[in-house]
Amino acid sequence: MLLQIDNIDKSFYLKDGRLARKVLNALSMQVSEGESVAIVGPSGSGKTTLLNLIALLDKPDAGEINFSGVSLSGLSGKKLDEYRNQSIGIVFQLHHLMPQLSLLENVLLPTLGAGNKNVDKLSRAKELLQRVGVWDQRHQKPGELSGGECQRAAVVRALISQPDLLLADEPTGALDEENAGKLSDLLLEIHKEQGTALIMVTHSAELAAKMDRRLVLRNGQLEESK
Amino acid sequence: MSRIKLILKSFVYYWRKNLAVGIGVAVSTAILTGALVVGDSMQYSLQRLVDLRLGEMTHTLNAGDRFFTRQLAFRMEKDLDVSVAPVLLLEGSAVVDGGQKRLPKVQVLGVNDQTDKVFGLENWFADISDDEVIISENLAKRLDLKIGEPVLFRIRKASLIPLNAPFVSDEEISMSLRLTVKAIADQNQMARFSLHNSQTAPFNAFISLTRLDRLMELNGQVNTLLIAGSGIETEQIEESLQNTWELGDLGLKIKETLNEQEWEITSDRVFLDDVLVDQLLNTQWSAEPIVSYFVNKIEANNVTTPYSFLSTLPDAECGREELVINKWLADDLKVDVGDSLTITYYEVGPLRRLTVKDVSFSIKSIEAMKGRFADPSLTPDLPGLSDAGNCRDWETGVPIDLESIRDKDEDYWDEWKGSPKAFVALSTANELWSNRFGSLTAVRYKGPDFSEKTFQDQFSKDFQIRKLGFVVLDARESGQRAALEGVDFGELFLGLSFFVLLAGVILSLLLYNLTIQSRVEQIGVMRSIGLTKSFIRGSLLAEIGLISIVGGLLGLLLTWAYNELIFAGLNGIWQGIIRTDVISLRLNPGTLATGYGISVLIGITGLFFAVNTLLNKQLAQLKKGGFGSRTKGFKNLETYVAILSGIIAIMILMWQVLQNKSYDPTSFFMAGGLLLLSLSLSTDLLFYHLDKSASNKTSNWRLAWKNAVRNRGRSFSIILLLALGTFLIVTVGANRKNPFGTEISKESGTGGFLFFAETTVPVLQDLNDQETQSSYSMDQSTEFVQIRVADGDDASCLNLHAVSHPRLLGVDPEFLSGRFSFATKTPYLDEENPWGSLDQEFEGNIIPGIADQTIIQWSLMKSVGDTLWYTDQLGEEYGIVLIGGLVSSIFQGNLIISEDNFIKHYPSSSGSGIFLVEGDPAIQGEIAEELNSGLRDFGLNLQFTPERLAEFSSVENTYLSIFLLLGALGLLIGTLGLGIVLARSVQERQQEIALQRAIGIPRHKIFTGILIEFSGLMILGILIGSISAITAVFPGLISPGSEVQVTSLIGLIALIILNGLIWISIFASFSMRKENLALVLKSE
Repeated sequence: MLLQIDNIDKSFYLKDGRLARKVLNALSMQVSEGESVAIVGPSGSGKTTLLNLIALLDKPDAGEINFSGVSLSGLSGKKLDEYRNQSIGIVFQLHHLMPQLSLLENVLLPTLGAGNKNVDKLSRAKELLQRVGVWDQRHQKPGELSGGECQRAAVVRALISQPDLLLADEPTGALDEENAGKLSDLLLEIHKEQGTALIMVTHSAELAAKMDRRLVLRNGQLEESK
Repeated sequence: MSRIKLILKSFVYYWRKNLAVGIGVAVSTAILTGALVVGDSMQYSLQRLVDLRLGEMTHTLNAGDRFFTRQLAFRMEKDLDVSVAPVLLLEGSAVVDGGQKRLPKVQVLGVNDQTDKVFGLENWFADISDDEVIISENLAKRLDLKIGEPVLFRIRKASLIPLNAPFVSDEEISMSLRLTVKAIADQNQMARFSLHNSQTAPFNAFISLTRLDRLMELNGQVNTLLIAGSGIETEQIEESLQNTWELGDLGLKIKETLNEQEWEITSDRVFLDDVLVDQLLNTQWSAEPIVSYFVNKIEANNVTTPYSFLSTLPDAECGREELVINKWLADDLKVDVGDSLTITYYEVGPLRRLTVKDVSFSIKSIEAMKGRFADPSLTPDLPGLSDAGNCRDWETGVPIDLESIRDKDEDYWDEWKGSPKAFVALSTANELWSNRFGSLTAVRYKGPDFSEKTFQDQFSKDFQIRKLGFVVLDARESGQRAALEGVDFGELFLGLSFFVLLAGVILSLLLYNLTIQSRVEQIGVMRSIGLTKSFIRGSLLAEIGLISIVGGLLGLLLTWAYNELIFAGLNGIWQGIIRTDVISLRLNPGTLATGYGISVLIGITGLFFAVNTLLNKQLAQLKKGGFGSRTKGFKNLETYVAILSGIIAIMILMWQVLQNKSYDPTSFFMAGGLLLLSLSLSTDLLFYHLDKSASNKTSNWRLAWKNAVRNRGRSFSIILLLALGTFLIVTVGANRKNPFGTEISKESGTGGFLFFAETTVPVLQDLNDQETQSSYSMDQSTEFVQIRVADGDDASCLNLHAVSHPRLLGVDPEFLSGRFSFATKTPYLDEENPWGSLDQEFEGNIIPGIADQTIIQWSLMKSVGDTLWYTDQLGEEYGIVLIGGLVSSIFQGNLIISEDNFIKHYPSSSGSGIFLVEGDPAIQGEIAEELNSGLRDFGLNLQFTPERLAEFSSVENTYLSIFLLLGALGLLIGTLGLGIVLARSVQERQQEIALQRAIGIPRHKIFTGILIEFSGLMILGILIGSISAITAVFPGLISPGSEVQVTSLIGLIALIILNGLIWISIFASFSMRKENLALVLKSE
C-alpha cells in the first residue's frame, strides 16, 4: 500500500482557543501504487485540509498516516523535506509559479532541494514541458503567459522529481472549461504514463468519473461513491 | 537552475522593493555612521588643537601669584637637558584709535629666544624689539590692526608684592605700553597659545620679555616656565625643581644687618609666608623673628607723632603690655619710663576695608639712638614708602594725612629713614598685625658660621618648594585628556539623532518585513516542494542581505554628505555651540567600517528573525499567504503592561497633585513616558477587539477601521513611530528657552542683578564705598557684589573639553541671600538660607561649594554631594563638596565658595575680578556707560545679565534645534513609512478595490476610505504622543514664568498632522492612479 491513513482527526480553533470546527473525524483511507483517487465533497468539507495533511503541510490532531509503510507522523527536518521533494508532487488551484523565474526555471526549482543533478532533470523537464505543450514558452515568465499555460508548468514542476504520489487540489478550478478539460486529461494521461498515484480534489463529477476511485468527504469522513 | 541564479533573479526581479529596502538601510547607515564620524572629527580636531595651543611645549611651572628668577629656567634646562623658557604671563587689554576700540582679556606674554625653542619655532619671538609686539590673528581681526600699526596695551600690574598686602600702594593697578605691530601670528605661529583647556582661541600679544620686565620692574623675575619635555615625566621635572631652586626663587633675600655677624632674611612679598616661617625658624642658627608695622600715630600727653614704624623685641625682653621706645620718640612725646602711650593703626581687611584700631602700652624703657633702636633695615622694603625721598612723597596703600606730617618728622626721615621708633613684644605684634599674607617681616640669624651659601644649602634641602604653590603641570597630557574626555560629540549626535536613527531602523525593518511578507506565498510553495528551511533562509538572507550590503555602501556615501551638512551647520549657524573654527571633517576608515557593520548587522539580524518567524509557521498557513497572529501569552503580557503603566502614570500624577508642593518635572516626565507606553499598547489591544467585533452595519468609517486593523503589526509600528516622534518633538520643543524674556528677578538666573562684570585687572577697593565710587566718577545708585576669582577652566557649556577644576569664585554668601533658585539640594543646604550654607565647616580639608546644576551634571559629570579636589595656594589638597545645584544662572561655568574659605586657601589673592551689579533697569544704559567709563582702566567687560543667560541658553537651544531638526527628519521618515505601508496595503487590496469599483462604489469614496484609515492611524499616533508629551512637560506649561509658548506647541502639532496628511494624500492618489479592473479581477 502506498498511502495508509488511519483515524485522523483535524480541528480548527478560534484565536481565543475555542473550537471552531472539527473538519476531519476519524478519517481513514488507503491508496495503492499507481491508483487514481478523486475526492469530492461540498465546500468547507475538509478536502484541502486532507491534502495538506497528506503533503505534511499541516499536522493531524490524532491518527496515523503511513507512506510506503513508513509512518509520517515522526517525520521532520531533512526526511520531511525529502518526502515532499522526492515522494510527492503537489498541484495547487493557483499555479504559484515564481514570477521572477522563467517557466523552465520554475519547473527545475525542486531540483535545488535534494541534490538532484540538473542535467538529468533538464532532460526530464524538456520531456514533460514538451508533453504538456509549453516547451516553446520555457524562457518566458509566468506574467507573460496564460493561466492554463502556467498551470501546465505547475504540473510539470510537481512531476519533475518523479514522485510516487501526485496531489492535486482543484487544479482546474482557476481555468476556463476548455483549459480545465485539457489539463485534467493531461493529468490523467501523465498519471497513467508515469505510473504515479494521483489524489485529486475536484468539484467536477465528470473528472471524478475518470478516476479509479471516487471518495466523498462528508461529516469529516470519507465514503466510497458509487 | 542554481541557487545563485535564483538569488540573482529574485534580486533583479524585485528591484523596486529591494531599492526601497536599500534606501532604508542607506539612511540608517548614514545617520549612525554620521554621528560616529562627527564624534571622531570633533575629538581629532580638539586633539589637534592641543598641538596648536602648546606647540612642542609639554609642561608648565607656575606658582600662583608668585614670581621667581629667570635663572631657575637655565638651571632646570641644564639639569633636565630639555628646553625651558621663562615667560611672563600677564593679562591686559588692547586699545586702538585713541580708545575708540578696546579689547579686554588679552593674554600678554613676555617672550624671548628661549620661547621659540620651547614652541618649536625659529626666530619668531627672538627678534621682537622693545617697541614691537606680535599679535594673534583674532586680535588683529577684532581691532582691525595691520602690521606696522600702533596699539596701546594696558597690562595688569605685575608685582612681586601681593597687591592687597598691607601698605602696598594701589596707585598703579595697570601699566600702559604703546607698541607697533611687528607681525600677526597665525595658528602655526602660536596664535592660539593658551594653558586653558578650551577650544576658544584667546587673544594673544607677545612682547619682548626684557621690555615687559622693565615695565613691571620685576628685576628679571618671571611667573611661568614653559618646558618642552617630551618623554619626561612630571615627577622628574618636580625633582629637578626641588634640586635647583634658590632663595631668590622664593622671593627671599639675605643681607647682613648693622650688627656684627648678624644676617637678616626678608621677602620681596614684605610678609614671610607662614609655611616659610616654620622652616626659617627651624635651622641650626639662632633665629629671631621680627615684625615691623606701619602705624598711623603714637600718642601720649596729648602729643601725637604721626606715621611711624614699629618693630618687635623678643618676648623675653618686653612684656605683653609694654613697649620700648627710642630716644627721639621719647623726646617728641615728652614721655618717660612707666608712662602710658597709645598706638593707632589700620587693620587692612578684605577689599582694603580699613579699620582704625588703637592699643595702649606702658613704656618699659627708652633707648638711645643706636643699634636696633636706630636701624632702618628693620623696615620692610615697601615700594613708595621705604624708598621715598621724604615723607610727603609717600605712596602707601592707606590714606596719609600729609597735613599732620611735621618738619621734625621729615628730619627724622632724613636722618633715620624708617627706623622703628617703638618696639613691642613679638607675641603682641603677632596678635595685632598677623594677616593672611604672613605674620613676620624678617628673620634675623646670628652665628659665626652663618653664610649665604651654607644657609641656602641647608634650607633648600629641608624646604619643599611645592609648599609655596609651585606646581608642575603636564599641560599636554592634561589637554589631550580633556579633549578625549570632553563633550563626546559622537555620543551627543547619536543622542540627538536617536529618533531619526530609530525611525531609520524601524523603516528598514518595516521594509524588510514587507519584502518578506510579499514572499510568503513563494516561501510556502518552496517549502511544499521540499526545499529545506536552511536553503530558503540562506537564499532570502543572501538576496536581501545583498541589498543591505549595497544599501550600506550607499549609506557611506550619504554619510559623507550628511557630515558635510552637519559640519556646515557646526561651522555656520550652530557655531555657537563649538566656538571655534578649527573643527574639520575626519573620515576614519575604522569608524566608517564600524557604522557600516552595525547598520548592516542590525538589518541582517532583523531580517533573520523575520525570515525565521515565517519559516517556523505551519505551511498550510503560509500557503494561504498568512503571516499568523500573535500568541495569547503575548496578548496577556501586552494587557498587563498597558494597565500597569497606565496605573503607575495616574498614581504619579495624583501624588503630584495631592501634595501641596511645587510640581516635580522629573515625575511628570516619567508619568508622560509611562502614559505613552500605556496608550500605545492600549491602542494595539483596541485594534485586536475591533478586528474581532462584528456589526450588522457597514460604513466607510467602519470599513476604514476594519482595514486598519487587518495588519495590526504594521499599524502598531506606524502608531508607535509617530507617537514616539511627536512625544520627543513636543517635549524638546517645550524645553526651548527664551532667555531674552527673562525677568530680572531675584529668583531667576540673573539673581536680580543688572550686570555681570569682569575686569582684567582686579579691583582692590570696595566699590560700594561712596568715596571709591566718586573716585571712579560713578554717581548712579548702583550696588556691587564683589567676587574673588581663582584661575580655573571654563566649565560652561561653551567649553567642549572635560573640566575637572572649574574657576573658583569667592563670594560673601550674605550678598546672595534670597537670590537665584536651586534645582538640586543636599541635606547640607539650608532650606531657609541656602547661601549661608557656604559658611559651614566640614571635617577634613573639605569646604562647601555651589554650582549650576547643568554644569555639575554635564560638564563635571558629577552629582550634588560629590567632592571636587583642588590644590590651593599653599600646595595643600582640599575638597569642595557640591552642596547644591543652581537653576541655570549667570554663574554657569564657575564653582562658588564662601569668601572666607577662598581667602583661607588663596591668602595672597588680591581684589575682585567679577562684579554683580544691581541697579535700576530703567537707567540701565546710563549705568553701563558710567561703569564702562569709570572702570575703563581695569579692562572692564560688562554683560547685561539676561544677555549672559541668553548666551548660555543659545548653546542649549542650538542643541535642541539640532535635535528638533533631526527629530523632524525622523518624523518625515515616519510619515514616509506610513506612505510605504499605505502603498503596500493599497497594492494588496487591488482586487478588493477593483471589486468595490466593479459593484459601483465611486472612486472618491474608496479614496476617502483610504484617507480615513491612514489619517486615523497617523492622528491616533500623534494624539498619543501629544497627550503623553503635554503630561510630561505640564509643570513647565503651568508655571507662572513659563517660557513655553502654548500656541507654538499647538502649531507644531498641527504642522506635524498637516505634513502627514499631505503625504497620505500623495501616496493614496499615487497608489490608486492605475485602474485596470479587468486585469485585476481576472487574476482573481
